[in-house]
Amino acid sequence: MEQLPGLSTATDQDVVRWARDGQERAHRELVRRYERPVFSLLLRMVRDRELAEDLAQETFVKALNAIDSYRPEFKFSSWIFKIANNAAIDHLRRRELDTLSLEGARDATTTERAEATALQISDRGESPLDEMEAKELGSAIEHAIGRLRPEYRSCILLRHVEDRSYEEIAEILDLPLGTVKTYIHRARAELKESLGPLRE
Amino acid sequence: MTEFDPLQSAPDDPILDRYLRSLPRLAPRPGFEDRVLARVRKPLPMRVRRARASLVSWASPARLWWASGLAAASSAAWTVALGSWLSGVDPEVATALLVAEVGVPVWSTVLDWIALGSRMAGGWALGVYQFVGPAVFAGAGALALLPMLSAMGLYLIARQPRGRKVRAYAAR
Repeated sequence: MEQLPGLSTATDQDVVRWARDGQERAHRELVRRYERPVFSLLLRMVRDRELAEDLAQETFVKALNAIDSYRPEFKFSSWIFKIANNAAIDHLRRRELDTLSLEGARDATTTERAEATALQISDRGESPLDEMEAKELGSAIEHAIGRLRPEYRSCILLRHVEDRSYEEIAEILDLPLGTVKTYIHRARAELKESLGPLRE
Repeated sequence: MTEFDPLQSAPDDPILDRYLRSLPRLAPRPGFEDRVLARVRKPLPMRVRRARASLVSWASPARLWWASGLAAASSAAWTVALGSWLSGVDPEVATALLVAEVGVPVWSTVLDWIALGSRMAGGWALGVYQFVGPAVFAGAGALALLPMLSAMGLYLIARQPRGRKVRAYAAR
């Protein structure tokens, strides 16, 4: 078997090249690198943990099965986010969603369903008071993001959670650069208004 | 590279920025990688891909037409030559010649193989029966089921996941 030196430190383009050569470890590395960003984006878009995981699986399966059609002159991250965002938008167009809840979807009728649709935020070692405050404000920010239009939500999440540039967001969402800036500007204005009572 | 800072163009709001930046990346359930890779098509071995690529690169439409034409022409030429030869020969003589030169040897070979195969199969069956006794009949019944079970298993393993085709990125 061909050796894959420095798999975890290799660039995306190198890992993709090895994946196209048929190296399963390269496939696994690509999934490992992007499972959290892709899942986070999808979960905040569709607001259902189980559904987000299904969509994330579909995203990676599509990407890896079509790896031969990937064009190396573009960033792999942009490609995978594009597939993920398209999956989320396709789903959102098929149904209306309730507002986001840290405690679970409002239409959850069982404990299991509420837990499945609740956001899980990892413990970052804060004090109990900080954690409570962070959770409350975190819940509010998640609520506010959940109320944004899907297009605004994608832009805000890609910019502030995934730290993508405007140009990259424009590539991912297939939008003009000016439109991306406008969406982010409007999304921030809506978030500021939504969070108004908690900011004092 | 100078990065355009959206905070310069968006409404200035440090509190909002702080909470946006604090949004965590969330993780799927453990074992996500395995679940994904179980559904990904296994790529062909590199030597097979290279051979296929060489064949595809060689098989230009012009070459394929040439190869098909040559095969058809040689087949037609052979048929015409054989027909011409046979037409000049007495039918009875031609038939006797074909039977003697082709039919008899082929048929003899077939009979020899059948005889040899029968002897080998009979000897093997007798040996097995002497070794394991009447249980051989139960074993033979189980073996008869194996091809069917193997075919079903191969079908389930080889069945590829279906999915929508992904267009090439940025191919507009």
